[in-house]
Amino acid sequence: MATSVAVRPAPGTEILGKLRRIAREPVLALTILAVAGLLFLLIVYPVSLVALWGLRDQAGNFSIDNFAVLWQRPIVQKAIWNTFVLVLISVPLGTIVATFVGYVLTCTDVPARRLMRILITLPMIFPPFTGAMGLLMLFGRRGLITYDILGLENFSIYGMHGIILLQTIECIPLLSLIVSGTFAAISRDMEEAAEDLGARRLRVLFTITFPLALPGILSAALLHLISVISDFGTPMIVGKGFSVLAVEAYSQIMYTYDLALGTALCTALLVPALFGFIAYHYLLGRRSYVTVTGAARGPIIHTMPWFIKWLVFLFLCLIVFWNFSQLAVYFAGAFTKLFPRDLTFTLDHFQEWFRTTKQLQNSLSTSMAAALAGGVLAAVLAYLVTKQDFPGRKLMDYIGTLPWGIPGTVKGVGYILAFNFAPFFWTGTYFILILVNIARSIPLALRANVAALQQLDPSLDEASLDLGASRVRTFVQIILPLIRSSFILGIIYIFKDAMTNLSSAIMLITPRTELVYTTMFANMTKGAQGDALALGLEIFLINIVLLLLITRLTKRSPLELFQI
Amino acid sequence: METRKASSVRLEHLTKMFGAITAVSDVSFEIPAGALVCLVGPSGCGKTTTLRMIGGFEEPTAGHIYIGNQCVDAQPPYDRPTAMVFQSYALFPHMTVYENVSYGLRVRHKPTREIEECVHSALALLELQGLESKSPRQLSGGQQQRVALARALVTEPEVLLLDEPLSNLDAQLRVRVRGEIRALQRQLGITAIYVTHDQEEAFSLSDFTAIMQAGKLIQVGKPMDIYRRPTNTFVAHFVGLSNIVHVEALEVRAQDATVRALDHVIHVAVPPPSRDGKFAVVLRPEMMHLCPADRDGIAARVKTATFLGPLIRYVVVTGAGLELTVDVTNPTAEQLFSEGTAVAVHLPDQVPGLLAV
Repeated sequence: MATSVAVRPAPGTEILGKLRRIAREPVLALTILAVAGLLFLLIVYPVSLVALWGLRDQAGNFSIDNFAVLWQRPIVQKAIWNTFVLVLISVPLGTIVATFVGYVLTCTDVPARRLMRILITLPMIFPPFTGAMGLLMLFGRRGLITYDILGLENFSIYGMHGIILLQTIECIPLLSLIVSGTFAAISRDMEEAAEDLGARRLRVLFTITFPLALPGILSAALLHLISVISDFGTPMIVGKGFSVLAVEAYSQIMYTYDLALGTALCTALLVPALFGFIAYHYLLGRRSYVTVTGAARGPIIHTMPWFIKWLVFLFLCLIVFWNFSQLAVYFAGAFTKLFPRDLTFTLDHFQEWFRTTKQLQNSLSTSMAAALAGGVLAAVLAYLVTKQDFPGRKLMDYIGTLPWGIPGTVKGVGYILAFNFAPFFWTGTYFILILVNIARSIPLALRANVAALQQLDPSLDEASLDLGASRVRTFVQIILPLIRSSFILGIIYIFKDAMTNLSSAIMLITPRTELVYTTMFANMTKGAQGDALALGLEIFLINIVLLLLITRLTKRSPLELFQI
Repeated sequence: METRKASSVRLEHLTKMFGAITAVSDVSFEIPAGALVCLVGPSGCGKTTTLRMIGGFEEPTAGHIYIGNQCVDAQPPYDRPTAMVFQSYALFPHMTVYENVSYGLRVRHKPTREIEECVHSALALLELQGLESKSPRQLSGGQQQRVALARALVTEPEVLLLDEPLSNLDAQLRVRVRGEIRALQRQLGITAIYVTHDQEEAFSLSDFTAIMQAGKLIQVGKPMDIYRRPTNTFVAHFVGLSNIVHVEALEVRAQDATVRALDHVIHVAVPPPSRDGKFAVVLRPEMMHLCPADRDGIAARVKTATFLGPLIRYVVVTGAGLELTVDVTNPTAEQLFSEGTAVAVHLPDQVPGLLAV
């Protein structure tokens, strides 16, 4: 019941007060400055360079004309148009399918719901490029189904339809998980109240259930939008002539060394992705009303007529069958000479493991270093933005999450621009790979730690300070042990992400610093299918070990690894 | 643990604004060393914010805080000689009782022997022996409360801060523990500031009670003085059920006054709050009596009668339409009135103070 008074303090007094308070604690002040500096160096500086380079002419002067000229290049127009069409089809399609799957798995009596939920989300731990490789081996020009079984000569899976198919199927696990969470948070009371007022089942669904879940569905759609725009691997492999922005920017810089055109394409890539990110953030902020109503009882489980129930079940089975057949083909490809042409069993491809020990070393060491440094940075940043009050706190939180909205290609180009010149000469080093891995994966780790910190009683922190412990001691002895499992989870997120960093790493490696994942990708593009699959299985194995490690260390479900 | 060093606490024009909202507005008062002061007021009145500013968790927008004679404005919480008992207790869940209580001493790098002695005497003081290796989760609410208290006291603070420490306990335990806290505070002679929204708790515990409303300090004083002589109608209502009756001033003198309330002459033996003669009196329900209508008194009619165990609470309406609440303890047969009965209300001839209106 605090009343507002007529006299307001002069604007800025409050900020000055906060600054004064921080300044009294040098350790805290220095930490904030250091973290802010790191965020600037790792995220803001490289990305703004991309936009700046896109906005200048040969002489180095600021110019938009240059941009206008570039836009008129057919190559740019085509890439923009293609990306636009892809987003227009892929995003709604993926969102609708994932929402449907999420809904039936949460709110209906479809048979074997628990098992289905696990089977549907399992592809998240499949080996890398399971979908793309499986698609090519089954439906490619010489695919098992298209060529051998159906005998189609002119069918091609390459192109936009292939990309859309892959993106739609591959978004289902994560997106349906997010949407499921939203449906599960809807209180049954709402739906029962509507039924009580006389609304029929379908009416309740469309007037209560979906509107309440809409923010969650939309934020899933925005995540999908960002990933479709940023997707580099899928169009590279099944695009073949269908050029999109992410791939075109890469080619311009890596093959034709056209920095001006490359950065212009990156800027075109960055703008919609950032828009998606900002909208996503905005929605997350507003989503609270779903949880306010209380998740205690969950939504009503709707019973469906038997034929619809089994139709839905069949559909889910189809998705599961599709995914697992791709996985089976993946294994088949790794253990045969040339699937499906030559089905002789062989372990030859696994010699690639021994040929790439250097790459494995590089991958493991850069990922490990990124995971440890990034994990600590994420935890400290999370502590600062949740438990401290200083000007710029929200901005720091925002920037820490920003890499989500920055396509990997843009990060790669940004790092080339930022660290290839004085005062940094870091291109070609392991160091730059570590940095880009931190920048790429910090959002996940940050969110995990922030979520854990928000659940902590704020008095715990204060009690420790009150008893005379310094900030550092409080952080190490009270905060870290209490958020231990999120802290570990964050480290493992970053490690896993770093091991499969393609889009930005591919621009920053040199022959000396090649990685397992980039080597696998190179094998795929040059047609060494079996070798690529063998390396994919190596990464798969490492992931499985990691999963077991997580369950051990954090006593949490491994599925949490995938939840945002 | 014997008597400790106690310090006085002085607040000077303390103000805290959150954006345009004033949470605490120009609060000044001094707490003598060794006293227990309760900050009391409705929720959102600024009492917890005031406590948190003393502990160093909130930066005052304006004003100063002195502990002893030292200004502590620039000191972060870990440098202040205060210790806080949090509403949620804030026991570290990953530490045992012993580790929790010894934390403040370990932070100060005390020798292990000394830590052991201090912790054991603190645990003994609060009757927690044998629970050293238990985790906070395994304790009952009352035990957790005492661990929080032990953890705060073991660092030998000059000022103990308590933020609604009993609000998570059930009603019976609350009464017991508040007695224990009071006894302990007296025994140690420590200065304590205690925040609560419960006036009964405040009255039963404190040497001085400070009433806050909407960020402002309204009245500070001994509990009985506040109850008997509230300075305004808010305090009068907050510290107990009151009938506030406007009076006509008959004689206003420097040291006392005579007034008329409802045709009844009342003498007030303290200096009136102003000379302008606009006053009201606070008539507590227990200060009045009800008699059958044929006796002397102010004619009224019973509106409601509520049986509350030790007393019957009547709401009566006077001929002038004024509603009065009258408590009758230990009623005689003739004091049992049903609703609608005509009665006579007997007012006191003296009241402890006047309210300016």
